Amino acid sequence: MELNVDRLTKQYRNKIAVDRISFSFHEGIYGLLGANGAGKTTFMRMICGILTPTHGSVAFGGIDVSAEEYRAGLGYLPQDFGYYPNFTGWDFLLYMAALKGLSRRAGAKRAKEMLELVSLGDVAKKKIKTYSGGMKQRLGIAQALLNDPKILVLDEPTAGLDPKERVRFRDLIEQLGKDSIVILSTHIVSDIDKIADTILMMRDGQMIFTGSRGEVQEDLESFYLKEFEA
Amino acid sequence: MKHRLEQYFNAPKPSGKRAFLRSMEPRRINVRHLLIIQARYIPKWVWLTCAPLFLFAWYAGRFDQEFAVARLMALMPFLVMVSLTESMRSVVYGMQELELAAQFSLRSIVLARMGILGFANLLLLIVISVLLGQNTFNSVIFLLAPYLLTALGNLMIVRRVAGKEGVFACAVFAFAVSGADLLLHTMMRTYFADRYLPAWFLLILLLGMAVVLEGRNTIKSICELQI
Repeated sequence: MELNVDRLTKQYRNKIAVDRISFSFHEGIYGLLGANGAGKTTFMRMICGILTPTHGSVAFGGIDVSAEEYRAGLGYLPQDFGYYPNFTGWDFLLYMAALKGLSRRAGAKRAKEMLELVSLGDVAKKKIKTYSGGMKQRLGIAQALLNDPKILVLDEPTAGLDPKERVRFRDLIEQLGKDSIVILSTHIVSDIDKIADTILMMRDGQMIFTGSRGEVQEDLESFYLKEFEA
Repeated sequence: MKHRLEQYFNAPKPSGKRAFLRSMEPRRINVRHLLIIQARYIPKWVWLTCAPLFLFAWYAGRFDQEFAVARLMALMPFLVMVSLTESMRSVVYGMQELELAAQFSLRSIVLARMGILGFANLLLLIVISVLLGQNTFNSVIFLLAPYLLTALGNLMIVRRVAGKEGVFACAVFAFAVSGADLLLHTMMRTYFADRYLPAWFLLILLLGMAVVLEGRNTIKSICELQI
């Protein structure tokens, strides 16, 4: 199924954060690169239905982004997220599983699987406020995967992860990208270099480059810097 | 026999399980299910804030109804503040983005919390008024006034002041309304006479309408992420 973004625009009073972007996503991993303020997070938020576009539309298999069915197949990891103060990692995942439409039993099963996947099984019953930054990030990744999403949107997913965790994360995303649409934005070009099938680059709200990884003949970081100097 | 059957007729390994599960329609969650989920996650201490009000009404109502009503009016703002900030806790604790992207819309979640706590508060109000003894209708009117005024103020604050600062501001407002109630009872007791009841009733109606309007605007604003 295709994720269609059609002339997507987000305008604030005197700034156009996303400027008429049209693109079709299929199964695979899309690496979204851009400087701070390029519009990546705004773009991703509109794909997740968190921000209402000024113009344009987002639809997956013909289902509009505002529909419950769309969000049922969506997994999202924001750049920053909070948690309710009394929650343990386990409570957090169970709560998110319930909001994602999973029954109690299915939610508990998935929560357990995800906690093992992100190596938080041992600390599941501890309060989130005791977690390190990297542990919170892994918990965030776990909640994004609870409903086995068809569309997975990850905003700076490797922030706070140590090198070993980043390698594990990349392996995980490579697996998921085989039958899901994975859109990940990061400043760490090497993360995208190793796993992305398609590279997307944004500047000033516009998509300045879209192409497969293979089309970029040189080192991705050099190519990225060249595109932004142009 | 069973063991031999298992040996000779091994079940094939499952294939395409994930694709099959994904092809199924997503589970529809009805309103009842949403209410149960949200009720389960309302902390116990929020429910316990009702207890002092209930006990005070039961005890004081046996001796001096007017005194009991006056003190309960001063306590109502805190009940509202606790319920409202609990309803809006997605914003207070930074869970807004995650809940906006979940299958259930954040609007449904907030409305569910407000509905549960609002209904519980209404029940409490009625029970307290009955416990206070005579003039149940008068008691309900007098108790609703600070309740709705605090609700209006807190809704306006929550829409404009994000995070824990918003909670603090709501608490300050609740204290202010509570203090004003006590002053009103001390210095202007005549305004609680029966002949002023129509004016109180009109005030409740106006405050009620304002709360509904402000509530709608607040829910609209928190259901779109404010950058």
